[in-house]
Amino acid sequence: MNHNITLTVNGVDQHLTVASHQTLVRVLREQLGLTGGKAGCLSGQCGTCSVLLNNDIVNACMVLAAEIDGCEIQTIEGLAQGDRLHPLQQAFLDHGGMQCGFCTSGMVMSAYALLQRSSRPDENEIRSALVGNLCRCTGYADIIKSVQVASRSRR
Amino acid sequence: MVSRKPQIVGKPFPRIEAQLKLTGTARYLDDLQFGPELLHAQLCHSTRPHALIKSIDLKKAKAIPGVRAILTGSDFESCLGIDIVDRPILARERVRYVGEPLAAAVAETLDAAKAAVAAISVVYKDLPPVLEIEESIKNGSELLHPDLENYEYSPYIRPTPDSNIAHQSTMQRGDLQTGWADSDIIIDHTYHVARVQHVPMETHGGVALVDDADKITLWASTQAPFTQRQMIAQALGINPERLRVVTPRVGGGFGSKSYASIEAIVVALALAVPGQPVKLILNRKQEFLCTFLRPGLAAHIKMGASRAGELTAVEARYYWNVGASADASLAAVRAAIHVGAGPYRVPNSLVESLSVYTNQPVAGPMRGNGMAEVHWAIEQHIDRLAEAVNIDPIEFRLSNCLRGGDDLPRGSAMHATGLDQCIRQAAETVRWSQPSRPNKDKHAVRGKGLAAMWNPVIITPRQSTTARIKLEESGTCTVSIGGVDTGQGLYTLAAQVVASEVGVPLDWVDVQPFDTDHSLSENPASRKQLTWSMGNAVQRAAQDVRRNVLAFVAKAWDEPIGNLDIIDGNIISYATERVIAMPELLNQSIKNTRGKRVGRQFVGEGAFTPDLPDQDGEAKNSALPIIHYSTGAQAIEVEIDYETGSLQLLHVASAYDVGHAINPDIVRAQIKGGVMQGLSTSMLEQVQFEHGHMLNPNLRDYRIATIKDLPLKVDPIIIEVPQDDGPYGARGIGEHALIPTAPAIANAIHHALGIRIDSLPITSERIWKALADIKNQPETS
Repeated sequence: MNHNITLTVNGVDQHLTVASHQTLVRVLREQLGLTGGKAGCLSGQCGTCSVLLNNDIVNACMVLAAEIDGCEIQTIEGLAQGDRLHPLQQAFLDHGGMQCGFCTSGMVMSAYALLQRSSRPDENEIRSALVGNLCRCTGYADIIKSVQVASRSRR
Repeated sequence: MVSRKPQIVGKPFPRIEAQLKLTGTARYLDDLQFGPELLHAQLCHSTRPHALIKSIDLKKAKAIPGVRAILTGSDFESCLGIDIVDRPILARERVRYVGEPLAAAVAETLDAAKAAVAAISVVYKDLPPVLEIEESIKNGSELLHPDLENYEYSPYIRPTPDSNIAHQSTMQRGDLQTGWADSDIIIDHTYHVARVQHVPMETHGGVALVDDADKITLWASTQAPFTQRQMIAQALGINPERLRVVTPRVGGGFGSKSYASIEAIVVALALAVPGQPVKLILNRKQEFLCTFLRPGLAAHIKMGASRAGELTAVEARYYWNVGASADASLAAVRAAIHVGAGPYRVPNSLVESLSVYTNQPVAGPMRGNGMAEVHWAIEQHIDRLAEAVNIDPIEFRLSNCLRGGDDLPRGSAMHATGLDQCIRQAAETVRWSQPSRPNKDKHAVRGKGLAAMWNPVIITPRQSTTARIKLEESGTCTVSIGGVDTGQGLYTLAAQVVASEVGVPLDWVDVQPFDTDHSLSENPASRKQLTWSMGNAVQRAAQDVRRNVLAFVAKAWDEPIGNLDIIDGNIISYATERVIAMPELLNQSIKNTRGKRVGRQFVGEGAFTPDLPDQDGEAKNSALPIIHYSTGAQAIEVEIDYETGSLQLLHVASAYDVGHAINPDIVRAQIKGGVMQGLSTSMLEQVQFEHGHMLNPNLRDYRIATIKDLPLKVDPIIIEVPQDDGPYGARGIGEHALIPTAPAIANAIHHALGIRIDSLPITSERIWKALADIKNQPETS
């Protein structure tokens, strides 16, 4: 069965027709061409598809698109303003918070969600917020550093 | 050799592709768009660990609307393999592990492809599965490859007919009997290494298209496009030139993407439906089941030492569980004989290494390529010996470790190495000589441990690496190198070398994504040391293009070339103070001294073919020349809750001799990442089987380290003892940090609690059980 829904994605209203079983990650990647979030496991275990749904971080592979009519979605593609990186992205760039980059979109979005709700998280808060985002390359230390620097630079 | 002081080399720079990755615009395989013509493929997998295929019924599957083609093993005449051709593209006649692909369907929609493979029915005749190494090598054991001796294999591969042993090799030095006679202490022990998966965040996948010119293009997430091209072309009986492999961004590989895997199936399907692209992306379960696992290992180690603490003899026998096919893990199995006695001076040694088939998923190379497994055994055993002769393990290692000029088992001398410095610095960083501070929690104890390592660069004689640079009109240096950046920062290193050597800003350098039609051949066996091989080639290419530019300008200006330099993208003359910007030269032309404008295009090429060392005996026959060894050491302080066995790493100090750090940030990042992967594979990871069925092929039941598992303190330490033939003296670093992690943890646990964990992974459960055994001992004895 198909459903007509409207999503506000990175500030733009999108009128979409989705099948009942279609997940948000599929809709974002296949219908809207927003391929920043990845399909790393499609079972909510890796975090590579993390996006903000009404300001909460979710695994987009665990959300049925038909159920979120009228919701607001923020993806990695909406973070930078033109060529100007968001301070969080800049911090990841400056402090080597990525290697292969496959987890990066989800990682940055989870960190972004954290900084939305906590202006100056301590290291434990950062670890808790990012525990659902697996990274096999960096060893995480530079990711923690990037988030810490970003939270300081906002002041 | 290097006349000018490198200005960009040796400094930290962000990755050149960082912005793309941070904005979600870096394109990985699944992000590429192929339009409405795209077809979807799915695989049908074996449900049996070992069975003959009696029949495969495709009737129902073919009747599903939208299904375009279905292939089975009988559609293929050959198998995949470089050193031994023993891996079917799709299972033929028999299946050898649960999850082995045995049929593939391509359809107009993903749903139709899924329905098709679900509708395939297979009739099996079960055979006794061979699940363990010990069982597999027994006489009369069920054979996985009854026709093994008739397989195609390289002259240096020695399969044992009528057995499950795909390869066997030994290296001997001195005389073991003399060694044992000279020993005051002899210790004998067996260690086990569990099978683990690489878990790249991006799974394997491929998209293939046969175009109107009958050329096949394969877009693949791969670390080794040319290896893949060669293997697939050979297995499918097509000309390698007909196949073009294009590599977008790669989301991690760690060795699992350095051979052909399911991509061969994608190409075969594309040949069945010419004109339309065919896409297959593995799901996470398939990634576990039918790409590669690290081999398992049983290591039997016997070592002797004098009371004074001098190593007298080492006998090491490595039995590798390579699963259903041996080819992709042979490099690890073969390398083991070269390093299996450890980075020490040992007058008498015998090292044996065996590749053993089992009905488990196929083994492939994993970061460290056998080295982490070998060191798990050796570096614990060294601690055991040190304890037996009552010498501090650091002192024991320092007095026995290899130094420049020492004889190696393979017959040549060790080059300059900073191994002793690494051991010392790692130990000092965790304050080795001071006791751990006690934890306030009375249930917790702390201890420190250290492990040393060496890692060989092994190449085959015909190999060399090449690089090419083209100067564009804008001044951009378009660089083509023989290697794929899978996240390790290779393209950034190449860009730094080129910018530094040519004399242009870093952002003028553009390193091209890999494409076998345009890129230069990579050097498969020394992929692990790309910094060294690629670095040398690209340095020479950059020097070449610089020379060409300077010679041309010198002629135009009628000046000796020695007057000229390129600084920050400007060609200058120190004598006449003439200046021309590179873009002006490249885009327009240059006015020569006679007032005439002249111009041309500039390219530079560089190749690096390493000098092969002289070798004798077994090493010569094995066709595995070793060029150099990287060395290092890791010291770890742990805390263990002795009520629960739970283990925490308080401090990791990881020291490696990298020769020269071209980009210290990237070197430190590689060390930190390696430590974490080492921690994860040491403490958390194990693929579990029951009757040959994998129990945990997902990221919930197979846990890899999360951000919460990060040790409290990781100190990467860079030691620089230059490598004679390295670019700026550099050696590689990518694999090293995970090699000594597991034995260092085990040694620290022993230090804290007096228990030894002989089998990986070091789980809390194993620690708890070992403690329970100790507690029970006095009561039972």
